[in-house]
Amino acid sequence: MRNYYKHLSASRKMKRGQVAIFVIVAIVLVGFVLALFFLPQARVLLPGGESQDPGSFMRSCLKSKLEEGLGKLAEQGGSLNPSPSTSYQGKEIQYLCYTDENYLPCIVQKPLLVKSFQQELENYVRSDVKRCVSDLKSDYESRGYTVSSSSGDFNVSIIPGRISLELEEGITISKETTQTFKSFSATQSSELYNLLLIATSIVDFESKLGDSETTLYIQYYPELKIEKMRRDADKIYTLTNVNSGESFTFATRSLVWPAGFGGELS
Amino acid sequence: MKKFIFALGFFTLFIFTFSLSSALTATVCCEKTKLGAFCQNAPAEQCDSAFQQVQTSCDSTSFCKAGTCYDSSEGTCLDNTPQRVCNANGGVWSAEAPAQCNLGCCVLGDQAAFVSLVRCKRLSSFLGLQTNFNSGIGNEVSCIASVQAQDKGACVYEFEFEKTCKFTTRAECSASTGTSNGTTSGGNFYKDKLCSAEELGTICGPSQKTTCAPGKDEVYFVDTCGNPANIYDSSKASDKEYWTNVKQKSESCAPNSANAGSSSCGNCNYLLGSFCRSESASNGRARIGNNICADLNCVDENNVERKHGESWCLNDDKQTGKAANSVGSRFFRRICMNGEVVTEPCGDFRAQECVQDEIETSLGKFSQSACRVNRWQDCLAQTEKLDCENTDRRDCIWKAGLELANETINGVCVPANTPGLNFWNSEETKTICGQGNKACVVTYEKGLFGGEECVDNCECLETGWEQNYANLCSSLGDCGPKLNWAGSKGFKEGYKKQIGGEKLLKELGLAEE
Repeated sequence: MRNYYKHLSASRKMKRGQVAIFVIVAIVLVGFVLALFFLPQARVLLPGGESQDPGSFMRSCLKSKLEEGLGKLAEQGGSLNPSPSTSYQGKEIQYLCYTDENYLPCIVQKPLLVKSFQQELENYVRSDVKRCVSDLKSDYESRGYTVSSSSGDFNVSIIPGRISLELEEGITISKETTQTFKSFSATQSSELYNLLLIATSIVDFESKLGDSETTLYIQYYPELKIEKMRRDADKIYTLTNVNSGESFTFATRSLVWPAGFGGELS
Repeated sequence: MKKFIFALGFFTLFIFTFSLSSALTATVCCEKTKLGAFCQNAPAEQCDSAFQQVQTSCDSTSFCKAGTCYDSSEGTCLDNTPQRVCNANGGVWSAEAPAQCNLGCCVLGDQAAFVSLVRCKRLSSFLGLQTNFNSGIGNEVSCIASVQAQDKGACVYEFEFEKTCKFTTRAECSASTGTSNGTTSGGNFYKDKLCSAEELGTICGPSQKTTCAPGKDEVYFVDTCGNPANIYDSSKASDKEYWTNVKQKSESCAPNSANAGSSSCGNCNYLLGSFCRSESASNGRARIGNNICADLNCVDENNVERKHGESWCLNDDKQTGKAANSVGSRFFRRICMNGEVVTEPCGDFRAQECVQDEIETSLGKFSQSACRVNRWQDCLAQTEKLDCENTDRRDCIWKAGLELANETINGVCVPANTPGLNFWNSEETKTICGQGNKACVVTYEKGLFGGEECVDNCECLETGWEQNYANLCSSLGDCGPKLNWAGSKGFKEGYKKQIGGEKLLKELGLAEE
């Protein structure tokens, strides 16, 4: 009998212990759920209702403009407002090497093509970078956050395999907790760097010899497709990476052989 | 018998009249033109007034003098760049190539590039490698050969308490293997061993994945650590030995074939017309992995198979080199490039013509072509057949039995491919085509009892004469009676035939003094 009570007492103690554990687990769960709902989260509600953290928001906001700028610049010879330019298939295309004269090789017009392209791309996305920052701020402010920012510069870099935009914009978002972002970046995989270097090499040939040999390049670049279109005195080059499908179009006017003896001004 | 001769008429084949005009305008050096072009020799009115203009050639100015433009960030040099253009774009200009442009051999892992030191640093930074530049190697071939001789194998090292591996060169292994995968110090090098070799006891093992390795033609297996292994061969995907030792290309599947489109063998050969591509960029499917030897060869317009890099000529005219090109016709060059035939037009107005030749290779004929300048300009000045047909100097053919204007030679030298002319808006065209004007004075003798008999230049009355000279006129360029490249006749006849006396000859300027 004594053993029975002992067993009963131990059993009751165990049950109390189990209840205590259940209660603790329940409190933790409820606390976790409450924290999930009520703790301030640094998220942006997108038009579709999906939320994003500020980094992702900035990345997606900047990336779309970066892609757009890349496409536009790549089909215009790397200039937003090409000059000197030629019209081809409804688009103005930058002459990277140009001469007004007949029978002479061209004069290089854009010797540092990668740098020039980067600057043009920066100019293209500049207003949208500001807009993205402004959108981010206003969205948070509308939801009761305090947002402070220190405006910084941004730069675009074109390197093998990718193009990245680095924004040095310090943003601090506070409500009950504070989150600080020192910089944002958007990266786009791209084979444009090699295309720009090949274009520079073609320009080098054009300025020295007045023409370029396209089959020379496919020996070195198996993924490259070069199209050279001659129209009047212009040559329109389109370089395409067959793997990524990216292309870069530019024009040259070099070693022009006019109709007849060229004794007349065209 | 008393004979009296008098000219009865003048049989004149008249094509075009001509007048010579020349427009010579004084040019200056414009730092920038109104069109936005830098450093152009152009008429003063075309210069942008906000920039300099000097009454001399641009080569003679300081601001437009051509030199070398050095890009200090990329480490590249571009010759023939005007000072003004270089500086405005952020480059460093110098009249002579600076020392920074001196080339050397840049070793980039198992690859090499013959570039400048700064460029080498830049390329090394892209790949996360230490700069390995050798200025003592003086040409690209030696540079590439120097890396091909390097030992390659498995570099085993400890990383985060795990024995891992990188497939690399001995030099890179014994130095630091870089930070891209976290390695911090030199590892143990096992020549000709793959990282997946069981005996090395690393965490790397065989996988069912393949890759296209940079600078390589072939499809490679990849181990679980991401290192390239041997050339893809589906029959050896589970072969332990194949995942242990490095196999040369010649020891891999079908080494003498392009293996284009093969689902089981990734031994591609760029020179034979295949190259590693992802399935999405090609038309085939691999049994294992997502990469395949894509077929780079083509089929031309005549269903002839062409190899990658092969080029050939295509022309609007059925016959070329016979001084009978149609108006608006053009030469084209076609190139087989990455499985696609690309068309490259030669210069318009037949200022360029396409030339083609074939070379014999161990794999058959390989056609090469080029657009080159049509050297027609001095054909008409040649009076000797030998000079005319000197292909080192010009592209002309000799037409025997014909003569130009009143020259007394036994043939005419004309362009082999007639030049296109701006005939709808050009005084010069009249000059060129006018050289085909022909006057023929036919002499008749009156008989004593009436009637008359042709005694001199009677061939001018024959039916073929007019056609011969019309053809000669067409041989000079876009002159005379011609069809265009689409086969349509012109709105006008292309030549005029006039019969008259001395007055007409004088009018046409063809009368002999």
